[in-house]
Amino acid sequence: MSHLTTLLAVGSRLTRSTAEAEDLVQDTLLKALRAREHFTPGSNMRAWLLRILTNTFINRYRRGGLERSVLDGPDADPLADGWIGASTMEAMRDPESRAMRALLEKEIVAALDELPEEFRLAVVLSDVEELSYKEISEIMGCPIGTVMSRLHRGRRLLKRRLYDHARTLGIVGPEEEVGKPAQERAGEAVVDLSSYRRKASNA
Amino acid sequence: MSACRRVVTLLDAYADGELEPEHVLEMEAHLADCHGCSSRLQLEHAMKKSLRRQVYAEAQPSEAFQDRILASFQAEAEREAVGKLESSQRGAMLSWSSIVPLAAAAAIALFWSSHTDNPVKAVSAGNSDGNHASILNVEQLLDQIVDRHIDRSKPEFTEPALLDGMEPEVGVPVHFPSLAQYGARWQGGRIVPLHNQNGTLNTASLKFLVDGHRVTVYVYNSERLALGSPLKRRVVGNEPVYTGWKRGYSIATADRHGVGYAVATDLGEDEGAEIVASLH
Repeated sequence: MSHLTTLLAVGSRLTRSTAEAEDLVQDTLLKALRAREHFTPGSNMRAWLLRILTNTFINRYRRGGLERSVLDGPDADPLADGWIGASTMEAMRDPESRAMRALLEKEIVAALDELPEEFRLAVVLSDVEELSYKEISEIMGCPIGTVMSRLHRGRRLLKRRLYDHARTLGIVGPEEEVGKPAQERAGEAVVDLSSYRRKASNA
Repeated sequence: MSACRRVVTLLDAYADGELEPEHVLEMEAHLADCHGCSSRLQLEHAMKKSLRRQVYAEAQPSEAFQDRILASFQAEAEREAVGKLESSQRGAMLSWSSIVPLAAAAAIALFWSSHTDNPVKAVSAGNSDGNHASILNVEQLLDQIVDRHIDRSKPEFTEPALLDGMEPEVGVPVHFPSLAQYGARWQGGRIVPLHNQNGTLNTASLKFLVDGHRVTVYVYNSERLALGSPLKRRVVGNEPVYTGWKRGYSIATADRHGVGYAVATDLGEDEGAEIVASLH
């Protein structure tokens, strides 16, 4: 994969527009060219270029930094995908489920584009570009813990959107018991009020 | 706290290969036992894979965009060269030595780190079928261009004014190429016939020395001879050119309004591209 393709892929998801992404990538490359003495030979050039891309995007479109989300606070629910039951999850990842696979392929970019920017960028840098948490924290200018939280929330929202879409299309059934991995259900005491309420409202 | 609840908070880090080693064993033991959590992990992997594939499927740089980027690099390189020139006043050779490495470094870093180049491209209607035979045919022509580049026989003439006289034999106007900005020394010219299965075509061969390196410029009728197809397309200062290597010599070609230019050199690919782009 050439760096040009990488920058265009990430730029397209940041701007959600091919034309704007092309302008952004051109700006990025000229900046990189002018700043090339600051690149440390032997370090990750792709990560360096992506940092310039991100900063260029923020300076150009988002004077105050990336679009924040009201969801970007302390994570209240450590049970990540509590809203997807185990059998639903199996339907979603089942490679034999052609309908689900087609949905993933078709809808995943649209679902990604709906995420708030901070989550979207974290997910793209990690899942698409496979950068390390440390590299992402340098690019986004935030601590590693924040990267992890953004990634977690971004992925959770992404799954939620795909799940909702799959529900609409009738590919998966309604959620069964929310909040509990299948084998935990039997005999487990309710550990806090919010999961008690969830359990109660789904009963 | 249940095992799943504990593990779920670490699952992202595990899937990303970032979990501390002391937790990995615990995680793997749990995944082996817990169907729910191993489903979660598989869903994470499936989503990553789909994301990667789909994000890239929607972001292939168009040829027009690649040309635009190359042109903007070239413009930037020229701006820098002019800046250096103005501050140092050291003459034209500086632009040669600074433009080429910068543009080359940038182009290599951005475009040719990938192995998915698309080098096969026909240059004109004469070769538009693009089949294997015609590519072989062009390889033979490139061979002859190299043969005549390294041929040490004496030129037919050394008087630049005689170039005009080549026009009837070559079939296109032949002007004296100004390679002064590269410090080129004129060696002389001759008519060189190139042979392929369609017959023979006369070209004007013009020899120069740049800093002790041989540079041979060929001028020919590009409607009867298309030399682009096995070479790589690139853009130098807004001009599309084709470059590549043949037996250790760099070859660059360009087409200007039906007049073909090919440059065979002992220099590198970028220098050849630069020279051919300056011809018209």
